[in-house]
Amino acid sequence: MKTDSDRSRLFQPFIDATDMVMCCPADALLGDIQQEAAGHGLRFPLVCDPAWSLQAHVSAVDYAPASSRFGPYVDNVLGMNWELPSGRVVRVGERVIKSTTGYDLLRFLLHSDGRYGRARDYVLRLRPLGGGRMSATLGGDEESLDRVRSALLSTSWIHWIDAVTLYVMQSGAAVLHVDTDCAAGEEAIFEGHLDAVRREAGLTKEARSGVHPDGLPALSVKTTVPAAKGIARRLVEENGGTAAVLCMNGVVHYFPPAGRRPVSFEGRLAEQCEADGGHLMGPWAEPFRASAHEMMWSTTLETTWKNL
Amino acid sequence: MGIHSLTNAEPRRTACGRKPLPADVALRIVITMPTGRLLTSEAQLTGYEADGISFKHFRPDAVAIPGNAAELIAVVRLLSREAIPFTIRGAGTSLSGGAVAAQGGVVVHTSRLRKIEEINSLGMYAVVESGVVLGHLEKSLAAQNLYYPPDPSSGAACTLGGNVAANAGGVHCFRYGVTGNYVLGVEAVLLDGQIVRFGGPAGGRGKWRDDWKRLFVGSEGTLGTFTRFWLRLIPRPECVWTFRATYPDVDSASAAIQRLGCHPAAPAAIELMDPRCVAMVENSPMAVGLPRGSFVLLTEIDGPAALVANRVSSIETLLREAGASEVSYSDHPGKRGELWRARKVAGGLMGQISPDWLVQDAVIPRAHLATVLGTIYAQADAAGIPVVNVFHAGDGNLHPSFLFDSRIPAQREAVEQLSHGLMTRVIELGGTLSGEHGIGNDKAAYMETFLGSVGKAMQLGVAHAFNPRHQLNPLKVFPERRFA
Repeated sequence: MKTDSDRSRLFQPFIDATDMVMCCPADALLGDIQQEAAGHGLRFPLVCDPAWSLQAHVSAVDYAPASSRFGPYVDNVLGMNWELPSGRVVRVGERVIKSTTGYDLLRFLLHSDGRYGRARDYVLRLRPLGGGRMSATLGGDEESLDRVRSALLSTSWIHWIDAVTLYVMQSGAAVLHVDTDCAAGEEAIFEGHLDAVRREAGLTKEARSGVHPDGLPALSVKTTVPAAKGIARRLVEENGGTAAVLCMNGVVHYFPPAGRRPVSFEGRLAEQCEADGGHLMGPWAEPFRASAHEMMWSTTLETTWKNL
Repeated sequence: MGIHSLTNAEPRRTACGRKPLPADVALRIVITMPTGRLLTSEAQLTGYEADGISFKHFRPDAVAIPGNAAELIAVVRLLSREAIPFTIRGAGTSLSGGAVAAQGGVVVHTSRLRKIEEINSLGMYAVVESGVVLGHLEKSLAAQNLYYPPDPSSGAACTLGGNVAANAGGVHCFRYGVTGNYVLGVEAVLLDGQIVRFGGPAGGRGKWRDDWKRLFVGSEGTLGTFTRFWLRLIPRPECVWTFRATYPDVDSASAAIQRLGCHPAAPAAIELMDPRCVAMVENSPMAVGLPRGSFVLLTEIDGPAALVANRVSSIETLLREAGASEVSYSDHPGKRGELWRARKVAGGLMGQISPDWLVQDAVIPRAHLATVLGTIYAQADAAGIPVVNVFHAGDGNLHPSFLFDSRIPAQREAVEQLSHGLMTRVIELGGTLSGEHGIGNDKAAYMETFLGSVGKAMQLGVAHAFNPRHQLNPLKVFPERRFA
């Protein structure tokens, strides 16, 4: 393996509790990262399944449930050691939380699906671990769920709630899961607000938890906030399984029944999403055929970078 | 790196070296913009020869002011075909030498593309033309209880096109992030005349395989000409508390910054004024009664009233336990304005007390704040250049302002040397050259030191894909980007 002549530029594994950043191997499991960060009173909130690696997350999804509060992976990965197709490893991005130095290769490469190389290490932005937690699952009719969802999203409470996720299930039922990490002692404040919103809509709090399917979604759909629920419904109605709508982000994570593969649906879905400036990703997203124009830009990058 | 290599184009103070546009090209530009204007007289061009770095002058050969997006697109296509270098300019408030004609040619001024086309409260996005002034968008959103957080201090004048080009930040970036975190889509006209839309209201890749908008945000006008944006909006905070604390020394101020940074209340802003900045304010008619010799920390928490009210006492306790000699705070808009006043007037005062000033921009790991401030003081004092610091401490985003007289060559060179010293130290500490101003031509010479040769080659590959001859905003970001 060749490395950048300036080795000192590459990120080394570290955790900096003052700046709340850590560098870890791309294949580190999210569960291990959480454990490491928790030892410093910190957390990396973007987790779909702690048993999967960060690299697997980044390949399958660009948003996680906690993206409601913290944004997509591209806003929480600050830097990378990036292995070019030639085998050379270069540093891309930073270990500080803010940068506008040169072109943003970090965000461009992060979800580039292996076309220009692969990440070997990530530098992650961590967040304080509050010490308290509020988590609730609400059940009820669709109209009431919509009212609660809308009430939660339309005020600044949403800045402080990790996740507002609507689960659409094969049975046709749906539940709304609200979850946040908060300072110890603040749980009652969050619960009070949620109860007020829930009662006004006539929703019940359900005892069950763990509605989120294991593993990573087979298909992740990025669309607009208003369009997400409809897409989730269609995916589940036509293919079964479960869809999780990340309500604040306009994202649908679709988990099909075991062994099921959609055939014709995806083309229409892709067209609808792309028209709004969205996209599909994950194992079920068919390979995207780039236009001639895009191929020209990509080829220029590949040609330039392959000789480095 | 030699001092003389720090500027990569020879500034032109007079019209002597200016090459007027060929008459036929000028005529065609005029015809292309039936509702626009073409400026060519020396007096008109003077207003476009500098950006926020007022002492470096690059007079353009002409300035085109398209009257609308269609005219902008037509002018860009014409200039592209005619092989004339050109630079897109919004309000010209950049602080890095970004929106100036460093290699001559035409400045294309986007001030008339100022339509806010849509504010979609259901989809939580806005569609705006590239010349919309940030402050105008902010006013329109406030009426709908919506919020677009990036807030550079030039907000009353700067355009969203400039903000996206520089990936601008501002006071509230610590929690809310910078411009790039809010760009869902960009529409741009490329040098080949094609109009492209990367992303859109959904904020994804759209019809593209790769997420090209990521490269365009922060590209400093070197890849394409922005015509419109889709911007993400969020609910406006219901309640805001502002705190102002004074500290006797940098160590106690720094301790407060570190603790605030890790506090679950996640302050929206963490700002610091150093004693030299405090002295500047207190010696002026804008004095607010701050204790001289103190470091002044400003921080804000916001959110739903019920939640924020519960956090006020813990923030006050934190500030005091770190060693504050005085803590004031309020959620009353008028009183909050008073707490912010010293911070807000500092920039204007620098312009009043010094013929010239250069505000630098770099980001360091927060743990090194005290060390780097010490280095800045030592180097500036040794050079006899007054320096004041007022900056985004939560982000580790330094903004030392060097006050000097650019008519005195020794002072000008000393300021270049101080900038060089700062950037060298920032790189050593694992920081970065710019947090929110961009590189422009002011810091292009440091890019290779920062990126290394391979990193720089990767970056130049991007320019090569979209603007291989560097016709668009030449000599910016990388000194090699000279239009030939």
